[in-house]
Amino acid sequence: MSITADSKKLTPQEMARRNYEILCDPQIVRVKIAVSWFGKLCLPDLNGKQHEEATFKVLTFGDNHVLDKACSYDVQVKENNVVVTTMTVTDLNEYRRLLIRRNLLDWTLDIPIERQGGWMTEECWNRVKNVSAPLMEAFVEQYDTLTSVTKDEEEKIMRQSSILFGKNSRGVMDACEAVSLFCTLGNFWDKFGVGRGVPIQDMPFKEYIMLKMVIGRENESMRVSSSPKKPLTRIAGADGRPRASQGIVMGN
Amino acid sequence: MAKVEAKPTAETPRTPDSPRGARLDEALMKPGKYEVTLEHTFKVEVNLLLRNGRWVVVDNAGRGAESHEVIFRMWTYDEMIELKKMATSYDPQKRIHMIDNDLLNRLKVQRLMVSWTFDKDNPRLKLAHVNGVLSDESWGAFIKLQPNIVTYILDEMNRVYEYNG
Repeated sequence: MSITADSKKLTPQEMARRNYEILCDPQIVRVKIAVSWFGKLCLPDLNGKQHEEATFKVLTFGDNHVLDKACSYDVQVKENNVVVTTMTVTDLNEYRRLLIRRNLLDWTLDIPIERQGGWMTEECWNRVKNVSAPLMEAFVEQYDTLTSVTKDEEEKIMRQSSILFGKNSRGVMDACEAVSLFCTLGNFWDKFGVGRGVPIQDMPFKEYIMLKMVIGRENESMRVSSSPKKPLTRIAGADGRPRASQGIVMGN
Repeated sequence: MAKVEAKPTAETPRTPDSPRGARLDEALMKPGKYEVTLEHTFKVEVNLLLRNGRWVVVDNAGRGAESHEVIFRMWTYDEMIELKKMATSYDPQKRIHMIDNDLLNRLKVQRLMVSWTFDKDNPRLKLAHVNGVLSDESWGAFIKLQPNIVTYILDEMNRVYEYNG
């Protein structure tokens, strides 16, 4: 998975170094944000000349599962003041708080990140939580855009999947990451029995979501093609329209 | 305004090996330069001009304009999460989380507004805090300002809190 942030501002040497690091450790996401000091406050600033960097662990299926479980709560659905059903939903705010505790590995800020048992330690969190909200949000926002499927990506996946699983498909040109991943993994498994060799909990959550989208589209197209076919001949109604005539009641 | 109760806090992730309580070295250590303390404040400048009997917010403190300042405390990431939790509700029909921005603005003002200069000529407008939260009287004074002044203060406040301008 190629994950870079702010790649436009990097020199070729920096890009090469970063790509090498990604190749060696694909489980790492680095985010870099421009900041400025406003008096004693360090805040994100698009025109800022200084930069702060944070290293996160790639959000895996397992991470999402753990965070989801820790943040879920029950909501009672009522109709006319009577409880109809109970739904389990995720508290997205709490999710963002735990995301930092679970996935932040290191950063350039002067608070050392200490971790134990896959989580940030309590003492470390007590300092990290006091970082200004806009600065931390900038890190989390950028991490979020790099590890989740964007709206544009989703549209592209849906469009290309429709073409790929279409009746007279001849494949997709300039395949997006999801379609490419789906086809490559499928082919390797079919021909050589080679899988990714990683348990599902270690699979990057973005890859999981992308593959799930493509598989969903494939299942949909298979369902359509296996459904009973409509008869070739149809009874045409008035004016040759392929539906029954509305009928006109004639007076005597 | 609808009262939205805070969600129950999620279970703390288990870290069985981590020692309980603050470490002595950290208790003695001063906050780092990125950690927010009570000293980390920012101010919103409000320049007002009396026109046809009502106060209009203007860009610069020019001739005849009155200049005021409202001081806010920077919020920490933890505070932001807590306040947003209080202002977020789940709509089971639409299956989406909704943030009540009016409530969120109210919580920000009540908890993060430190002082202002509107009390310079009128001691009745002096801000009072109880346990770090603006008293009901002070909140009442804030919302009795002209709507255009309140909106301006909230917009400028959010420019820093939400996007930093």
